[in-house]
Amino acid sequence: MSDTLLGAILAALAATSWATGAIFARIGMQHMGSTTGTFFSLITGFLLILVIALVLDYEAMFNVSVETISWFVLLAFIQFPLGRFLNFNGIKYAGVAPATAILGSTPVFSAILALIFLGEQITLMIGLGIVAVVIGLAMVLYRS
Amino acid sequence: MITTNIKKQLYIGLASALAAAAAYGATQTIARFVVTSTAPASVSATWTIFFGMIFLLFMSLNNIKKDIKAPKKAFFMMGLAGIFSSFGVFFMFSALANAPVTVASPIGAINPLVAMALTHIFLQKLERVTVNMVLGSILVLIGVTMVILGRFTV
Repeated sequence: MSDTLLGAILAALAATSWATGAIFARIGMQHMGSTTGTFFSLITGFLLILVIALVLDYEAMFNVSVETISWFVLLAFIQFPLGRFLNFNGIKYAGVAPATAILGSTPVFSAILALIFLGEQITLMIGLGIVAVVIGLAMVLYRS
Repeated sequence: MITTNIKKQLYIGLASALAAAAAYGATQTIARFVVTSTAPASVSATWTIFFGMIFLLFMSLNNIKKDIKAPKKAFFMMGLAGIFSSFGVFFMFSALANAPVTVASPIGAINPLVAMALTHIFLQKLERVTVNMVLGSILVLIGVTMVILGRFTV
């Protein structure tokens, strides 16, 4: 199996995991706030991932430089206080379906960041793609 | 008054989801760099979730006293949400370690369609999935794919 195919399968598993997590979060957050819910969800998630990391990469787990740690802190800050909290907040107030539909536009933001920071150009396909995303989001929002 | 509050909550929810998409967009680019140059995917996911947990602890300090009284079922559900969401992070970091962002990112974007299918099956009492939502999500996915492909057709 090629690395790219393996990566594609893992990405599909990631999508399924996130979608399943969103369903459980929707049910759980009927009775608690999104910050506490997100924090509690991270505790259980961390314990599980920690076991996997210790089994797969025990030495690498504790052999990280200060620079690498700073990357993890940056990733954590954007992914969790911002990303997951906002995601669960969206699920709590707008519902699973519209919130996750909007979340589907994540790669568009990656493209926009690449345009800004990497100097990539807008092609016709990119332009049409962004229009399709905007119309798609409008359709989801209209029925919300 | 009630309708105004519901609308306000809905707007907060939709704005939050949009902001989350922007945040996740940034992390995918950074994560690709980290897992291909500094640390394995499992290590990156673990440390990232660890620091995320610390950030969220400070953010939730004011609400914990109130939320701790929530039913056990709610904690169980949030526990499961955490397990699946963290698996999502781990799988995506692993995907980014093996495949380019241009492959992993659009496949990861099928998440809304999976969520809608699961919502339709399991949350019929809480939410209703409309035809517009499904069509809109499909259009978003088509657009996302075009954006990704378009990055390489300058």
